[in-house]
Amino acid sequence: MGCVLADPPRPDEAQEPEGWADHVAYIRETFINALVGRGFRLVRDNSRGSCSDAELTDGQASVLLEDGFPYSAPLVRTEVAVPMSWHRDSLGFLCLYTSRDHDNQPWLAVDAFLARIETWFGKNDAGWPDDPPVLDLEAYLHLPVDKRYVLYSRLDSYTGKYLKLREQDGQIQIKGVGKVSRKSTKGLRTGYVADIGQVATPPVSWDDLIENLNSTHKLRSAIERDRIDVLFVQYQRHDQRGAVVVTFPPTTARPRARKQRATNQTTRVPHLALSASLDESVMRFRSGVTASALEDKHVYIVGAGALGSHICDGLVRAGIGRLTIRDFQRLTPGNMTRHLVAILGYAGHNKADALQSLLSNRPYNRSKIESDWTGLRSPAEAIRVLRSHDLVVDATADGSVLAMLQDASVLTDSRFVTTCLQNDGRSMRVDIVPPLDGADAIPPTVLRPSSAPEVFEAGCGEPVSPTPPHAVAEAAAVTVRHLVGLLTGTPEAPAGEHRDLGELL
Amino acid sequence: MAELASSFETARSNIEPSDDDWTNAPQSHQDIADILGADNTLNGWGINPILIGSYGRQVSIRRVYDVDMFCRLDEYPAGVGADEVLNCVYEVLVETYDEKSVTREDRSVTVLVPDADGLYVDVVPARKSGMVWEIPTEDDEWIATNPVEMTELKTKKNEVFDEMYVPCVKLLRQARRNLLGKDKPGGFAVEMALYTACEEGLVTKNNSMTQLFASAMEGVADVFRRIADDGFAVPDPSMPGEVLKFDEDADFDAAAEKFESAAADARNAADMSDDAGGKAALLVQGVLGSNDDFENVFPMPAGYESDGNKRASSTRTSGDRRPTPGGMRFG
Repeated sequence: MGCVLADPPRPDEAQEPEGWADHVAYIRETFINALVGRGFRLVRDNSRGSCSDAELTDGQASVLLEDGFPYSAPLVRTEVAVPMSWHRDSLGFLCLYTSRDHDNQPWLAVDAFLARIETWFGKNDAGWPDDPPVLDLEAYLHLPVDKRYVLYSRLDSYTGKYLKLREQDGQIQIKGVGKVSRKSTKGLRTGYVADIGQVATPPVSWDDLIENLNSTHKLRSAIERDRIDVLFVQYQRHDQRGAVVVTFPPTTARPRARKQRATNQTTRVPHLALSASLDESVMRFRSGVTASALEDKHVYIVGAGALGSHICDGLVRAGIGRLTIRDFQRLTPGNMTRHLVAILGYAGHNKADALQSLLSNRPYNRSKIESDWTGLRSPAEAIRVLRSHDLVVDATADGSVLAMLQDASVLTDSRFVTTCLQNDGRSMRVDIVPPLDGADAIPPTVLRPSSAPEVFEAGCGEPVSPTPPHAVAEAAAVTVRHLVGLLTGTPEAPAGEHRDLGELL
Repeated sequence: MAELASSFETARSNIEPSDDDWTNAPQSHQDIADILGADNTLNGWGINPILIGSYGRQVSIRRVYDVDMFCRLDEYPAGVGADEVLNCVYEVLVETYDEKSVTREDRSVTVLVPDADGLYVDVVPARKSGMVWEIPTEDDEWIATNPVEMTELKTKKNEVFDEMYVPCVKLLRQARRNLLGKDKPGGFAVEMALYTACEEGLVTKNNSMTQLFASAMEGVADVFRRIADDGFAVPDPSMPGEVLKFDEDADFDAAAEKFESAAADARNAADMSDDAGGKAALLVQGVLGSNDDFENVFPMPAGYESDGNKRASSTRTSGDRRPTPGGMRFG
């Protein structure tokens, strides 16, 4: 769900193309009239042009049309007393549609829209028996928002403990366990980790939230005495765990009077800080369904140029267990337009080393990554490489490497993948060598003369390829898809894939 | 059945008193109240003015040409006649405004307020009589009235009709202006005819203004017809057992005829099919007409040309616009 916290600026109607306002207004008025025809009363309609601002009610529910309608769903508010639930937002509106339900604007079919509201009330009465455990407690808390972003990991291991936190560049991260001394000059802040367990009804205010905590009095007091700057509140929905972070930003208010200090009321203003877990599990969710099958695979990639660098990134993101990168060349600033490593500080570094360094420090990385700054020239080494890895990838576009690996694969009865771009990036191919199940190899690419003049860069012995960066990324993605298929026993095609976009029109 | 909800809501907005109206009326009331209150005699009689009439009941429409100022004399002395009160009010006002601006009427004193865009204030003195008030008659007597109760009845009726009664009264007042112009009966008669029709069950609560308006037009036409043909006496809801008196020159027969015809148009509009909204709107435009600021106070619904024909582009409904790449996308 998403909530608009502030009124959006009204569009300048004079800037709207002719007919646009009438188009939107027609859909809006048709919707309003359909609701009136089903017993709703139009309470107000201050809509102007394409900017909707109308409200209808039938005494049970109110329907609000705001700017963005009809492409955004109407807001619906209950007019009868209904307990707060996970299915109402912080402003009390019913959560009727998720972003996945927005295709085709289903709310414009008024009967289906009203049925959806009826279903909501029915499920609410039944206690939402088939409720998905969505972890979005922060969407319900009506608190001012702290602009700082909080990152955490292994929060459950800190439950009931104080934490030392470091704030830098708008981010707050956990640095260790313990309280920060009041006299500390290291810029550290103190956090505390609490757990409110299963949450049947989302708290909507600070008081709601803190009343759910054990040791409410103790926590209030600690916050009041400036002993807690950041409060991590863990919670649970069914078997899923989440956390919400409340901060108490420093105030410039004068010290409180003694009488005021004697009361137990917090005068520090709680804020909601957007936060996220750094735990491996939340990264793994995004690696795809094959991640677990890739955990124990070792890929050896020769060639860490533009194409090879993006293939390495794709494999690491997919969750490959181990990756060895080999390349003898140094990275130049010119490479960076197409290369994954586009940080000037790496200029002059070996491509394989630079790539290893970059990928190893990526937050999603769970792979063991090694680099080798030498070229693969030794036939003996080629045999060893093929025998000792789950899959070898040639991304060198170097005929020597390809021929050596090809011959070595025959002798070792092993298989590797070679990938490249051709025809200035209009052709890209992934070849499984030899093809699976005795299939025929993909025929060679029909090469066309380049339409671009040859360009040379100082220090390079060969002309610079006019292949565009997007073609590199595309070829890398295609290659990774085939590699993952081979590594998980579900190959995409027996011989690989050849894409030729033909000549430019 | 054509619903024209947004057009009716815009029409209601278009006939609301203008910003100038909202400024001029209360300012003029306050100015005159200050002048009257500063006079020793009137002050001694406990003069305590309030705004009544359509403006006081908040059912007036753009433009507001006149407002009624009800000057309650809380300490009204015995032995002072109505004429003496009116004369006193006249003398006080004419000292501030010139004789051209102040007119001594039979039952009130009228002031053309300078610099108020032609606004008239009708000053009506009133004395307490039991539970109600009395105002002067043409023959130096007093007659009972209860404007405060009238305002409360309007408020209750509006609650019963889910806040749609007052907007409906305003729309009917606009219809009267369009249909009858300066001819009588005036807006108060229309309002009271509607109130009577509601009390009689001819007009009932409806969530649709399209339907309520058609029903209200029919109800007022019915009451007017009975007044014209049968001498029907409209009850005064603010004073049980009493009946209302309207201007003697009011032509209820002509008014009934106009309202009957207009009510038929409003009903035809309401009964039209959903996709004939433009044609329905044309009929309602004929009933509500124009005012100083809008050529048509009732706008054509979106998606229709000014002749009521549907625009070719106005066909969008749910299901028309499937996302080009299909569903279940990730980005």
